[in-house]
Amino acid sequence: MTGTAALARETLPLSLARGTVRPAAPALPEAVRLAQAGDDGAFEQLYRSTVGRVHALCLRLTGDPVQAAERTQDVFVRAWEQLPTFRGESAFGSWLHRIAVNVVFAEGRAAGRRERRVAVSDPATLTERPGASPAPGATMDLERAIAGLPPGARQVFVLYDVEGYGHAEIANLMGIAEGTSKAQLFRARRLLREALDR
Amino acid sequence: MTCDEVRDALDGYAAGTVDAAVRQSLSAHLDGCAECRTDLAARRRVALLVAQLAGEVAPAEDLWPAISRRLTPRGAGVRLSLRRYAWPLAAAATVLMVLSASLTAWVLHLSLPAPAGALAPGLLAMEASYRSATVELLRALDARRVELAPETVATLARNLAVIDSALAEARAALQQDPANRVLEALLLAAWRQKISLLRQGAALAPEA
Repeated sequence: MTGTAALARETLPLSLARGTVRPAAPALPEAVRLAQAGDDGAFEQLYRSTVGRVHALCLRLTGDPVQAAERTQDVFVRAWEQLPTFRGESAFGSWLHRIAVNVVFAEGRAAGRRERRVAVSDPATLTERPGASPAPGATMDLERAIAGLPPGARQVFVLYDVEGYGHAEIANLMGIAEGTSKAQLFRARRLLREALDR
Repeated sequence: MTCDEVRDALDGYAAGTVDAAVRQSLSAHLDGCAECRTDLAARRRVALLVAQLAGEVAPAEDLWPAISRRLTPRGAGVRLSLRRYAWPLAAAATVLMVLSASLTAWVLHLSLPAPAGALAPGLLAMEASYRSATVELLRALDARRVELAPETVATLARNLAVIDSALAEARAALQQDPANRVLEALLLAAWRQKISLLRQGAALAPEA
């Protein structure tokens, strides 16, 4: 565990510390088995229980609600296709999280790494889970600031500081050097600090 | 330590994960460097905000309908959007009567597999329940067959045959391995798919 994610775990109650993905609910394994057998009703149940986490990740990585919705769809279609190979070595949520990261970066590569900067103009469009944040105003500011970062800096920040990835893994995922990942993180933090101070 | 070295080590310092010697060096540097102290304060501030970010952010609209349309059937599961195959009724009325009647008979024949004796009693009871529902739905479908285009009926029969084949395979495998929960799940999923398909067929309205 690295960076801000590690710091968060050190300084906050466990219930607030943000892991890469929360552990799967006890009901998931049966739904996973049924979905593996082709039961799309069971897969819908899996979708309902995990879409918020997947969409949050896609939204923060893309910085664009429209792209986030498209990538979230792609993630679940890919998960359905790959589900027969899921053997439960990791929690279903962790497995899905990995698919989501791969889908977002695969799309980014396919699209020539879009350099659009689309800020979330209306924070009200982000539906937070009730009670998830004790300081909605401040976290909305951060959400907006994250969305406004340049794509490379935003993705490194989200993976490193929010999701707890290390620089080596980020470099591998994004096809960049570790030094570039560190530089992007430094840049992202500086830009966030400036945005939050405004 | 230089500012660059401090910058690399600040996350560990803030998290309390650096050893005592590094911590002492960092502290000494921070005492004399306002820029690095500002950096540390900013990291702590962002860290607190990150920790409070919502773990879940719901999409603005329900994405399931669009996802569902993109799922490719697999295994025992066969999903079919029958409305895609619904055609105007009048154009094929004569062919429809003959074809649908024969296909319905075929469907009825295929869709009532005999109970298997070696399955667990609980599973047999569930199968009996599904079979009973299937009979009801087939009757409803039969009553509406004149409203369905021949292509629709043919598609329906073809997919029911696939499901019945999957049911037969799962049942045969379960008879060999009655304790296998995956096979049991496969069998029940196939039944659910069959009922879902029949419900769609029975509810299908002809296009205006």
